[in-house]
Amino acid sequence: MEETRIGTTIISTELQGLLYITGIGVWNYDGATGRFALDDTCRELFDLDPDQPTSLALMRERIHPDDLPAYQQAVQTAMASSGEFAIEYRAVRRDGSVRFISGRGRVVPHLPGEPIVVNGVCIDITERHTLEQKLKTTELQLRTLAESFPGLFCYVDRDYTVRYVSDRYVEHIGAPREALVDRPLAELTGKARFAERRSLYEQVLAGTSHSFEEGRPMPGGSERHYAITYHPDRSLEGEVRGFMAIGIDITELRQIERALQQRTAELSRSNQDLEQFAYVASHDLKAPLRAIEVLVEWLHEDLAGYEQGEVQENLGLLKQRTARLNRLLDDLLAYSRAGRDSGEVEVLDTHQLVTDIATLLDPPPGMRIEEDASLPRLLTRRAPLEQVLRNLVNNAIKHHPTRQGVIRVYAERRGEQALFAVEDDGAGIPPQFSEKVFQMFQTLKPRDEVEGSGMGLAIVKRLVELHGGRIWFHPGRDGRGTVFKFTWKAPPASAADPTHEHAEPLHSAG
Amino acid sequence: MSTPSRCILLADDDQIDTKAFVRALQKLGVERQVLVARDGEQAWDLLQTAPALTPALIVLDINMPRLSGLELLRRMREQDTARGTPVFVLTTSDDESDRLDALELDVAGYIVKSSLAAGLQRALVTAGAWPAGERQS
Repeated sequence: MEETRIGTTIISTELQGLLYITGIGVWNYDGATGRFALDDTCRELFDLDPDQPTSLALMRERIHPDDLPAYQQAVQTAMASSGEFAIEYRAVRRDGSVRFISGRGRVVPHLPGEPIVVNGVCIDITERHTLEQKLKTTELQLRTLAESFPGLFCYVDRDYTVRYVSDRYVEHIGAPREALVDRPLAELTGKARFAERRSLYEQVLAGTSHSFEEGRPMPGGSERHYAITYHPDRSLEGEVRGFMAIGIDITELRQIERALQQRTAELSRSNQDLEQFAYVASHDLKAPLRAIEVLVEWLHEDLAGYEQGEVQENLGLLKQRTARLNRLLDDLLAYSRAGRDSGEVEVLDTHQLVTDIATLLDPPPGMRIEEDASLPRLLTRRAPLEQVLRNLVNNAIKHHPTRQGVIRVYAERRGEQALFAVEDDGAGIPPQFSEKVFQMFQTLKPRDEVEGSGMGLAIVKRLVELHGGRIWFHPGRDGRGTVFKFTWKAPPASAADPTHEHAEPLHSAG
Repeated sequence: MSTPSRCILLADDDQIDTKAFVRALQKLGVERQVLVARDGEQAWDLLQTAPALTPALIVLDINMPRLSGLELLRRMREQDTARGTPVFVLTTSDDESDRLDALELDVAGYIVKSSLAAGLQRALVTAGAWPAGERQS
């Protein structure tokens, strides 16, 4: 049987093999000869060449300077008392890498004055040490997370003992941490609430997470609202070891929510009032106006042929003005009704719709209305879209300076919306009126020149916006005329419907 | 022997509406007496105190003080008054619900105020009082 001699210690080859597997290195120091011997594992650990002679001093050189004093202290103490030592330290290899080592040694009992013999082992614990560091880092990160989280945290174990309370929670309770941690949960919650919550806690410990909201009275009579979550904490084996209680103060959120609800209710009420007012006012104003119209008509009939003074001319003006007021009231009524539900959603062929509108409006002979093949089939309510297109086309006809022109209506799809365009080659609208034209009772020309209530575009804007769309305008091609564009939220009628394959692409100029 | 033509009973509180009614009759060339009541109660009194009157046609406005046209009609139906005379109601073009209520009370039809002459002519035809000037026996 082969043997290796390390100092005075003889180690069999088998033992050596076993030691090598465990990663345990062995060394020996004989005070009588001053010989320091160590096995291959030790040499490897301390980065010492296998064939070079070694010494205690050489080994010490490899110990991290910060760890050396403690190491020497431990060894000397052991020598002085013929005892043992155990210490963890770092070895620095020649390439600068660091090994964590657990070193243990034993001084062989001896009489005073006799030379000493020390036997020792070295174990590489670098891996374990790295894992420990990782764990510590993770724990620190979790703690930072818990402390920076804008809520209250608390960990409770299976026995209803509080094991962790976040700083904010401590602050919130207003008691020292020691009075909370490692104390029964009932002390934190109060006995009454603990009893009340007991069945809930049991469910959480059985593995179910629970979330709820709760108002808590504060000193001074106010109340704060919390969103509370209890979440079970499971071991790797899946056993519930306790639970996390998380509370978030949502008082401000609730207040904002309430204020918002109130504001919305107020707004919708005042909106309704306004609509109601406009409706009633215009409706009730129509009755006396109708009477005036009738009376003017009779005067006109009875005074037929009467040519004294300006009677006929004035009667004509009176008739014109009452007609204007009537139209104004009709438009005001239409405006106030725009918000009301207007019919069922149907498959609407907008190409046909524009054709119908053109027929109905009966433009003067010089005006041509072109409905482009791009006008789609949509799923939408007919009445509001018809009114929008009719008002826009009618405007284009009415305001055309020469009564000789072309009005083009075309469309394209923009995601959920259809984009419509009504383009004329008229006088155009100066850009500074871009907001004004959509306001109520606004006309850009004297009413005696172009009859209009100034409500047409206001109605159009309201209808478009009520349908989730937007309306704007820009000059037409070559800077002539105006292109009104609006979006209309409506899906295409269906994929199976005949599509207009030869649709012209839109020239979007703005 | 010819008897004077039976009258038309109009219940309407609006002076201008009443005038319009008379003018429309004139335009149609109808020469019949129009008995005007200013509200439902007055019309009821006329029907009660002068039963011999028996109008050829009764025309009722809906909105009137004291007793509305529909209330009057309801009372007439309950008390079985002027059963043989066709009743028309005067409405504006958008009073859909009033029209439906009137139909329930078994009216002969309605006259839309904005096309008074045409409506009145139809009513007279229904009442057998057309062509204008024809004498009832």
